[in-house]
Formats: sequence, structure tokens, C-alpha cells
Amino acid sequence: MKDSQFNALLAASKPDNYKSNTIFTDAVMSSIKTSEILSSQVRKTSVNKKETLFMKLRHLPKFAIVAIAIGVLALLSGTAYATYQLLWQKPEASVSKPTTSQSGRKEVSLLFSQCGTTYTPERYELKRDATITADQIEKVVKAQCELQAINEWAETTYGGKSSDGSYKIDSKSQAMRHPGVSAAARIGSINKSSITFSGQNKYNTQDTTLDIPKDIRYIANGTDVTSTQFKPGDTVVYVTKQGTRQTPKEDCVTDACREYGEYFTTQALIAVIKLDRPFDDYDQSAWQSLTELSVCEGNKEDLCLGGYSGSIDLYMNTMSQDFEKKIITKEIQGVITELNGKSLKIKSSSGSIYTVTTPSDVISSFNNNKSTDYNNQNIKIGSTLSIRYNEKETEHTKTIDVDKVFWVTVKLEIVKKGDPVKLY
Amino acid sequence: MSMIDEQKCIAQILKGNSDSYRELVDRYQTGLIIHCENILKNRHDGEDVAQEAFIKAYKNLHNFSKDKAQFSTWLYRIATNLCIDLLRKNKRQVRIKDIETKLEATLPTHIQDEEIAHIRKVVLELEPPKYAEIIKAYFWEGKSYQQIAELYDTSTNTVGTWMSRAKLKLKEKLL
Repeated sequence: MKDSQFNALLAASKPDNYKSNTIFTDAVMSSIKTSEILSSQVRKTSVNKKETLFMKLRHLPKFAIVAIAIGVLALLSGTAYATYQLLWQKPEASVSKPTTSQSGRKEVSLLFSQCGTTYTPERYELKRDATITADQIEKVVKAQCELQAINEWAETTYGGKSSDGSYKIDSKSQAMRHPGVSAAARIGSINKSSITFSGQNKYNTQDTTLDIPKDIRYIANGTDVTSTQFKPGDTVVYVTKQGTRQTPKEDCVTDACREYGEYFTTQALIAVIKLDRPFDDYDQSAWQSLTELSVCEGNKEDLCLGGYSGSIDLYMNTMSQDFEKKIITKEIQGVITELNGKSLKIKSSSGSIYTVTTPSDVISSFNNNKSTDYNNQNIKIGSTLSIRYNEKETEHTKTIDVDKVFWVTVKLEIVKKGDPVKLY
Repeated sequence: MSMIDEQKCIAQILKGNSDSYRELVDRYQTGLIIHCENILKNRHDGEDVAQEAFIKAYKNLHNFSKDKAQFSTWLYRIATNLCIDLLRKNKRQVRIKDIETKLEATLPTHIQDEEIAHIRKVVLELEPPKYAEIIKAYFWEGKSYQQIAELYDTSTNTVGTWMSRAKLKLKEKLL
């Protein structure tokens, strides 16, 4: 028996008198009683952490990232060695000349090197409301690669268990700490005891002042340096250890009443890191002007939108599951080329035409009944749909019948938080 | 909750009694979070995705057909697709075959009452008692490795080691 199967068996054997996590249940029940939500943009209410904006940038696997560069210097008086240890490798990215995609957007291919350890899409396209031009894509991507490498380094170096005495756990409360890397900031002021960061991004313009601990690290060009290399106006990110404590009300001794407890957070400065590029290159709205294109699941000839994008559910079917027949869920995305009630056609990134049939006219249903909830957006020819459907792994039909369709969504174009809903 | 109770519960929800959905969330949350955590390799993301899957399942419950699938199968399928979306959003490699295999292995099985009773007994009698405690905490109470580590004032790696040993002992007795 596989380990995951054994895990499922243990979870299924939960006795009825074991109370589930009521915070989780309450969060779900609260959400379902609110109005429609945008998939992929749903409010996150993790029961175990308070996620900051900075932490949202850190969805990265742990790994060992220490890269060692050894420089050998031969000196006249014999042989001496000077060792340079880079904390993370310098990212590189080269960008092709922009072309026009099937959706009519400017699209580029990128070749990456040392952009963290995570899989990186090879193609990006500019959103319609992009705050940057195609010529600026390269520097924006390089800046994000650098932030990604720093995030990974911080997680590896400062993640995991910590044993700060001030966070001693008692029988009732829970506490957590995690490293957080800020968005790009400028040093507003710096002295021996404190440092002020300003202009972190467009959503948080408040200055942040933090005490400087004795063991703070100053890092530039991937190596430890002294504070003398840092001055007001420098573009930096800073690493903090953030603490969250969840304390139940008096008389609360079980998980059941924990949601009534209190949160408080602390933020202790660990390191200040000088960035390689100008401040504006790290602007989140510049990064979010790009749509990442990844190979569609089960359709390797086509590209699907990823990254900072959203979607609205139009239809979801109940799918029977037949693992014996090697049926898997695939995805195809494309712009609508024809609308005929229950049937529609989409053109994928490779130019293939897919015919999709749904049990009812889901497009008209949205336009007539839901459009007003979504900034009066109407789905029409040219809108981008995502179709998830079940099919044998070895089959590749361009006709997706009603029985195969699992999930239909319309893609949204979002550049920054608070933007009005707009179809892609 | 038996299959019949589950169908009654769904019927109640479709009649407008949304509070009945709480029973389904309670029933499947721990296993679903573990399934998502297993794919995403991250507990917090696993909880977020599991939550979103429950919400999506609720909103599309009118399309659910018990003749085609069990609720849990459908729920796990939704969650698995959301996991894939998140992996892609976070620029992580998606290996669809591996994920399908995990889905197949982790779908909650409706095991016999006698078997459930036996598993519970073996878990509760596990030695040392600490092993029983962490199995209960993770699989029955829905606690994360991080939370268990905090309770025992140890590292998540140590919890992982204890968990491996505990499961090995359980497998020896159960399989």
C-alpha cells in the first residue's frame, strides 16, 4: 500500500468524537455565505498563519541554495586563496523580440539562468493594461528573478523551527514565526539603532521603522558587508522574523473556541539586502503586467495562462472517476471564435480550434444573470476561456463533448489589486 | 457519516439549508488538507486550496450527481485541479501523472465499520504513547507538523521522523 493511500485510511478512521478544526470549517461556512467569489482570487484565510503581503511573494519550496564561488588568487609570495561565498547565484534572463500572440498581445520568449530553483515559464505576454512596454520586460523579469533567489535564500537560512523564549508555548496558545522578505524598498534613514524603509510598493506607502539588532546582516552583491555600504536612497529588501500568536479567551481549552482568541505580530529585523537594479524595476504592478504562459496540462502543444491572473467559474460538472482507463483531467485555453448556444469554439495558442459543448448555454447565462456582478462584463467572441475536461491520456480530440467537460471558466485580466473586473 | 447520511445532507443543502454543509466540511477537511499538502508540499497552501475547493463544491453542488461520483471523489478532483493551478501560478513544475496517481491513492475509501474500529484500536494502543498522540493529532485532529512540533517543543523534522516510525509500526500491525 502506498504511503498516501495509508494516510487516507488513517484520516478516514477519525472517530466521530474527534472534533475537526472548527476554525477551518467556520472559514468555509463564512465564505459560502458571501457573494460570488473570483476563483484564483479567493480570500485566503489560512488557519495557522497571518500571511503578509511579503509572504504572498514567497510560495517557494525549501531547498539548499548555497552557491560557492571560489576565486583563486595567486600572489607573488607563494599561493594564497581568497574564498568568496555568494549567498545566492546571480539570475540571468535573455528575452526574444516581441511577437503577436493568438490573443493579439505582445509575447516574448525568455531564456533563464539561475532564476531561483523553481520551474520558470518560458513565455510571457503583456496584458492589455500593462504598465510597461515590451522592451521593459527583460529588466522586470530579471528583477523578479533576483527577488525569488533572495526569498529562497531567506526561507532556507531562517525558515524552520526557532526557539525564541518569548514565544514559549503554553498549553492553550499557539505561536508561529516565519521569515518574511519585504517588497523592494528604499532606505529612508539609517543610524546605529534603527532604519526606516519607504516606498515599498504602491499598496503600502507607509514608512516602516525597525530597530537594528546587534547581529543584523548587511548584504550586497550576494555577500556579507558592513553597514557603511548602506545609505539613504539605496534600493533594498529586508528580512524579518515575523511572529504570530493565537491566544484563546479565558476558559477556552480546546480548538473549538480558538477563533475567539487574539492575534498579535512582531517583526524583528534580521538582514538588509541591497538590490542590484533600480527601484522601479521591482514594482509589483510592472511584474503583474505580464501574463505567464505555461504548457497546458495534457496538451503540450498549447500554452495556458498562469501567474497573476484570475477567472470566473461558468460551469462545473460532476465527473465520474475511472483510473483504470487512464482518464486524466486536461486543460485547454483559447479565445472564443464562435458562439452557438450550448456549443462554442475556441482557438488555442497553437491555432487549433476546439469545439466545446456544455449542457446549457453557460455564456448567455453569465451575460444575462451574472454580468452585473462583474462590472457588466459580457463574454463574447474574443474572450478567453479555460476548459478542463476528462480524456484518456493517449487521446487528443478537438471535440470536447458535454460528458467530458469538467470545468469552464472565463479568464480575467488583473494588473493590480483593486482593478475593476475585466475579461482577458 | 454513512453514504446515505451524506446524500441526505446534500439534499438538505440543495433545499436551502446551507448549514448542513458544515457536516461535509467536518467530515472531509482533514483528509483533503493532507491530500493538498501532499501535492503542494506546503501545509498553508494545502489549507488554502482545501478551503477553496469546499467553497467551489458548495457553489456547484446543484451540478453534482451522485449517480456519477461520490461527493468526496468530486471534491478531491476539484481540489486537485486547484492544486495544479497554484503550482503553475507559483511557477513550479506540474507532473500531471504523479498528481493523478496521488489522487487515485488518496481518495477517501468507505471502509467497513469493523476495519475502522480495528484501525482506531491499533492507533490508540500504539507504543510509545507519543506515537499514538501524533497520529491522532495529524490524522484525526487536523494539526499540522508545525503545530505538533510546537506542542512538543521540537522541530518539524523530528515530528516527521516520529511520524514515519509511528506509521511503520502501524503498518506492521494493520497490513
